[in-house]
Amino acid sequence: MGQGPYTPVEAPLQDSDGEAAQFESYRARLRVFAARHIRERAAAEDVAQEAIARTLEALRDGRIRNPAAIGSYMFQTALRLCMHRSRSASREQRALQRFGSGSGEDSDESPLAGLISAEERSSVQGALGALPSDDRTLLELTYRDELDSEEIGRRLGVTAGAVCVRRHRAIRRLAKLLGVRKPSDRGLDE
Amino acid sequence: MSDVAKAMDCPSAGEREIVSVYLRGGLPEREARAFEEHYFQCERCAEAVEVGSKLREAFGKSPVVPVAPESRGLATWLPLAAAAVIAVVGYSVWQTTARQEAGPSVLRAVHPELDVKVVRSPQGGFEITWAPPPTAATYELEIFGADGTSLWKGESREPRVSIARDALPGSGARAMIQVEAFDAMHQTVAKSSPSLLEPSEERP
Repeated sequence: MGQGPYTPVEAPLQDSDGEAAQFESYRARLRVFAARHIRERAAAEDVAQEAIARTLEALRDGRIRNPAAIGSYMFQTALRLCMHRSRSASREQRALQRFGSGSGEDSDESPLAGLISAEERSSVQGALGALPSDDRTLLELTYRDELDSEEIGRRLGVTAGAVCVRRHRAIRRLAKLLGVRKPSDRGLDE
Repeated sequence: MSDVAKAMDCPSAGEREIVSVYLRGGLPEREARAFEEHYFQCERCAEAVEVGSKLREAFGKSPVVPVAPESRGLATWLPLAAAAVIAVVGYSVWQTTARQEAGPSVLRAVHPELDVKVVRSPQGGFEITWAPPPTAATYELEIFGADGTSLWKGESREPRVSIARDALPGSGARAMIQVEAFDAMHQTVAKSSPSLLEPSEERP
């Protein structure tokens, strides 16, 4: 192992249940990150799984000493996995084109459709319906109509700053209804 | 630091609009990448990204707008590339010390570059050093294989690390190295591009 002004980790940082819960909390952001970079749902799931497995392995091997560095390690791992997959996909596409089998164009169908299951989509719609109507309107204007805060503020007769604050609260309420709770969330809003 | 303090420390705590803009593909790529790096370390932003992506999909949209592939939009890309070349050339002229080697990292634009030097130790291992940024408090160093597999990761409070020869599988052949500097709040202040782990004086 290395020599220098650092010391190896002798013991795991957490028990395995704690590790598993903490690592699962990264899955959703890994999916979104990977989906944005490799444009394909199944591959995004694979990257998320692989990044979690590699980070967990690194943690257990003592290669991550500081728990605060887990997110950074996960990000770098996912980034490299995405770059590796993109390069492989490009090579494959070039080979297909060389042999006349490739379309040469990406499909216009959404390659990311189904990143969440139909059940989960239904659950989101149900949770949205359970929100106060002001919250629901604000989230629809933001995520369905893709309006910026200035425009939403004009329509609702409030300032853009107030829109940001209200949206933040609406997202928190929706997160609670959906059971999206991060390990470090305790104490933030109780 | 408490969770509340951490949340307050989040640069986007009062401005969650960045999440919806990111998900709909409205951020410049450099900012999008910086935000991604941030939300892997910020639970509040990660929560907003998760909920926002689910909302988009519930509204029948792609959960996140993918990065435009390099092969698409060449006509749009060329003027941008030309502008980037002009900017880079201008910057190089302005700088008195031109870099001889530029790595492929897209993150280089987000943080100042750390210049890493590698030399062989008398025992056959590696002595790795870099110039310390003024605000750096700790460093993380990672060595990974050509396939992206992490081979070794360590931390240091000093701008140097020694790695024994037997610490790396296969003697570290074709391994890459990357160093990241953090301030006292564990925010990134500089980062090196991934580069081959080989003695600097042997580089062409």
